[in-house]
Amino acid sequence: MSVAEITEIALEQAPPTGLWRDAFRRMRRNPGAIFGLFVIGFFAFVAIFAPLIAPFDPRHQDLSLIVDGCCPGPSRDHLLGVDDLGRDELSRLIYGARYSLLIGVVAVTVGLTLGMFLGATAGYFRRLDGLIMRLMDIMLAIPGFLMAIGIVALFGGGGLLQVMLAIGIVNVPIFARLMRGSILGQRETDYVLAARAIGVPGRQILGSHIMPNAISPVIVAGTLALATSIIDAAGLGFLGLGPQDPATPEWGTMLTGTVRYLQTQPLLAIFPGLAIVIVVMGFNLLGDGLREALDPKLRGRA
Amino acid sequence: MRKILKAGVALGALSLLVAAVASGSAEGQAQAKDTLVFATEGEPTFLDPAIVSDGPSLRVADQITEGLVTVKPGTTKIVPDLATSWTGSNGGKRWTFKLRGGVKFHDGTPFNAQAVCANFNRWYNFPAAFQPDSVAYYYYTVFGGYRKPAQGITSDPLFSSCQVVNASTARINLRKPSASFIAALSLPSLSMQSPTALKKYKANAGTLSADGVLRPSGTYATEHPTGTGPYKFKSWKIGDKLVLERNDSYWGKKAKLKQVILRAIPDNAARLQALQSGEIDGYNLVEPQDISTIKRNSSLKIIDRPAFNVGYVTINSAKAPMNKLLVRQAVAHGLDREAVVKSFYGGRAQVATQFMPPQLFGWAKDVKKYPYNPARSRQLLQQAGLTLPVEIEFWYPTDISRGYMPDPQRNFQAFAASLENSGFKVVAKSAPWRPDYVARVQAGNAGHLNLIGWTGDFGDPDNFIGTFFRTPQNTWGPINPKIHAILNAALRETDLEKRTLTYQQANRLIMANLPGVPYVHTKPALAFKKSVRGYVASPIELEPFAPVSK
Amino acid sequence: MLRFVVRRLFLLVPILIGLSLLVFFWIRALPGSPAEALLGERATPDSIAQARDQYGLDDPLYVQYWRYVQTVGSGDLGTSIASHRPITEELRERFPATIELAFSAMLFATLIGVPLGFFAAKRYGGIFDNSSLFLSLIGVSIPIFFLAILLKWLFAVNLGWLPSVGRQDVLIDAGHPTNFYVLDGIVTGNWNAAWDAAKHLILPGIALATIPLAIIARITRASVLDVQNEDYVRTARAKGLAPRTVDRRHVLRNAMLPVTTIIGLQVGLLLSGAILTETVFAFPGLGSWLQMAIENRDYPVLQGGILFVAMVVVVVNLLVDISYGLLNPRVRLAGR
Repeated sequence: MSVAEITEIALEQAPPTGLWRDAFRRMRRNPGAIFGLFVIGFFAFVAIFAPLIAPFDPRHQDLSLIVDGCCPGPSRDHLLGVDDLGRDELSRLIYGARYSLLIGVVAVTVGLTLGMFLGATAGYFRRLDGLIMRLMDIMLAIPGFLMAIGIVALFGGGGLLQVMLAIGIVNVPIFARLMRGSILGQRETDYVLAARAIGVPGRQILGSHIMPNAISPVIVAGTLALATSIIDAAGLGFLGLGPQDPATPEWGTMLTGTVRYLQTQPLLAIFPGLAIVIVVMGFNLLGDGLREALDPKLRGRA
Repeated sequence: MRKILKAGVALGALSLLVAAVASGSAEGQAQAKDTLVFATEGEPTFLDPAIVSDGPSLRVADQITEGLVTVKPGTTKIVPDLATSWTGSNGGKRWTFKLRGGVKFHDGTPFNAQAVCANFNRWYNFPAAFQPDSVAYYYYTVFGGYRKPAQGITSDPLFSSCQVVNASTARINLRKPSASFIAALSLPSLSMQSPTALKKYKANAGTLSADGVLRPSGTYATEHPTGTGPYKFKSWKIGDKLVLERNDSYWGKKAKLKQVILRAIPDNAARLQALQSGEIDGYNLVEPQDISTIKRNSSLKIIDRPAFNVGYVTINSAKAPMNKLLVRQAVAHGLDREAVVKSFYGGRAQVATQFMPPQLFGWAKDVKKYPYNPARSRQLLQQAGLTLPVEIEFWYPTDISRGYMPDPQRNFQAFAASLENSGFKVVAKSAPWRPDYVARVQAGNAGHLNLIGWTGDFGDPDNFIGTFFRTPQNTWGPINPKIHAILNAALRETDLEKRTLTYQQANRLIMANLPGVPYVHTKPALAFKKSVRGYVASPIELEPFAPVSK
Repeated sequence: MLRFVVRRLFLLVPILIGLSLLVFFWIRALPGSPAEALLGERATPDSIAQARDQYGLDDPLYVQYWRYVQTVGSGDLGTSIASHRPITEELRERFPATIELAFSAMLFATLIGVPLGFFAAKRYGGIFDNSSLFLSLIGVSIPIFFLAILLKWLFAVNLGWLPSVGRQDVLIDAGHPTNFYVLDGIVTGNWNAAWDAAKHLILPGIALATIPLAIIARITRASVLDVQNEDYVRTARAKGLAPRTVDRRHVLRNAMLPVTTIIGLQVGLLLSGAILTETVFAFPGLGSWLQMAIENRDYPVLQGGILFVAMVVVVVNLLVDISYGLLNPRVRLAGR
């Protein structure tokens, strides 16, 4: 939520040029963004082809490997060691990429869709503005992570779907505010005034004139929100609110389980932790790259 | 370039500051020689043992108050404490206690027969706000009712009256014979407190708040607990520490250390780290995987608590197809109990064959056993006319660590995998231990199978299989009614030999009927600094700090 | 200006009402029930029904809501199920703890973040700039609990430099007139206690500071870059003022405006982070309290605690808004 908040501040006044080709060209010259894209691509590849890459079934247990209550470290058979149930750590990390990316994408899609709808409605139909934005203010008053926990509790405790929805809902006010600000900026532009003057209906103006131009800051914020969503999902998993089936190789959940073995086998906590850091870094780099590419203020420099 | 240098200098200065701050901490670790700092898993609820049932509260009570009887340190054997002897008459309905002379409460008032009767009468006359299960749990469990039961409280009191025969003799009259009555008097919740202090600090006054929580209006339960024990209460600041001070006029062997500090650290890993960094002297509930870490550390040691618990999987026979004995047998053969016990308990546990630990009388050698055998399970399921895989819901608790299941989720995952090898399809469900999980299991609306367990409160089989099976319970669904009958007969029986045989018979019957599958008895562990001596771990966690020195 | 403030205060009313409704209905919508929470593991269906009846949980919702508003209005936030203590009393102990923690985190974040951002901007595109960017990238990419665990493991367990849990060493006897432990130590003249309390703040403070630090460094860098190209800075430089004077008098001062706002806007973020940080360090503040309340279904604590936290966020945002209005006449006059 943090980075998205700054983006919001940085972008609220961004003019809506939306010259995508231009932006793409600038992106290509930004090594950070390229690297971010590469990292994300790598994890996406691993996620998609997990069954082909992973040496073991991530759920297969071998209790006989466990010594002194916990887990032997890396060996030739198990390159990153096994976890507390004798499951291959590397295979779990590989399959874990699926869950983290899925959680991120679904959560952001939920937040983006709802938030954009509310924000656009508030920005364009001024009569609803007060009501919607007060509602958003109320939601923003509750610290995001606390609200996510609260929503998960409301859904009857942990679960993959619950976590995705909760994080998505927490993201709603951020996107709503951003969209509204962006639309407000668009409303008074010449082409919108012109469209209105020739009698184009409100909904159509919103859909085909304002939205396309107001959307670029939202896309940047969305990329950065992917990063925070993955972190928040891991946090929920860490608090034991992750997937109902504990055998699910989700990174956050993998971290919770292994924190108790930090003294015996710290690697078990370090591997999933690092995986999260790297993938989140990828999204942050890409988001920053996008922002720099789209933000005219930084254009001269990036 | 100069700017970067400046930044570097600033950063350097800052890290120096951090280092300076850090090095200062060493001196703080030189702990007072005369103080024991012990970490508990949570804050006490109240300091009046009669109105609590949680471990941290009872641990404080163990130091401050004493009962008429207690257990021999490290065992469940009943020995005299504030009563020097007792005799039963009138068919086990009248009990006469000879009391120890010269004992004084911490407030200087004498302990005598009047004090004994004041305590018994206090419990029996508890006002409505104190009667709910969540408050006077142990009194209610043992004595079953109150003089004026509040609305909604089922009352069938065992206690009838208390008589002061003379200053050093008290007599308790019961309404019916009870064989577990004397053993139950060792419960810290039934220990003796100063009637004067109870009155002075309004121990019996309190209201249920709008949220239904007992709010004592007096200060007894938070600031003035008064017993006869080797330590007396000094101060308590929630979120910080609870301080106990040696009772220098104690009637028996005086405590070795001047002061005991109890500190609540709910997180397991945090307790271990606090011990390693020297912030505490010892802690309860060591997890199996940390034991080797502690043993490797030359300044720390492990103390074993004798096994007095059982971890088990309940089978709810009210949920089809668990009503079929063949299916229950398939479950028993499908749980890889040997592997779980061997791999997860660090060699500190044994596979349970029945619902009570082997040290207790009434344990039967020749119960039916169910070794892990996936092929046999599948065969049994087919015999029962089911198509494989058989889908079942299996529940486990979260946010809990008990001696018999340090990590419930881990046990669950291993069991789920072995059941799936045995012709079942497991649907995983979980809930936080308190409040949802236990309530759900007990109401019978959790899964077909549920992971749970029990730690004994006092040394009587009735505290194990009696609690589980003496009356019909939704936890198990319908079970062989003969089991209820036998356990009721065993409770009334006062002859130890006959009781033992009856409980053995009950255990055989239970394991043939399979209302659930017991799988582990474990020795929980405590960890201490090597310098700490004299701590005796108790199977029922009744552990006085008095003999401890360092 | 007064109109602006009054208007802002007026906007607070619907938010507070909305919040109380939201929290009230959230509690009611949670699965399980307060009655079960209350009775805990000894609950029976009978005793649950009795408790429901006794505490009016079967009354119509609007009756319950009205009762709730009345009790909250009278300053009674209820009683914790877990600790049996009034929630206001626990707040008095735990809120200062979290403020102390959040304050040290912000202090750390600002003291490191501002110079980092400033020098990065001055050395735009250089090694220092790039490494500070990379650092702040890691700062926002690392899960706070993961960092907290690593810090604790390294500095408390392996090196033994700093305490790993709590707010104060148990062997220190100190009075707590204010419940701000560092301040308490200073006020009571117990330097040892103040020093010890400060040491307990270092690791959780650093863990909690990472995200704000990264954000502050980034914002400082961006706004220094902006301000540097402003006409008045160019003029000052052209005038021949010493570069250091220009930096201090013109660049830094003007660049700090957005940074100050950002610092104000971090409250929500800090409170979110406090949940995980306090849980890892067993730090008895608001965050660990709420986290435990959610685990234990301590409904009264959740109801009172979340309402309180939300009110803090609203009030702080209001203060930021007002002070921003005071500083920047354009916002005030727009009167939106």
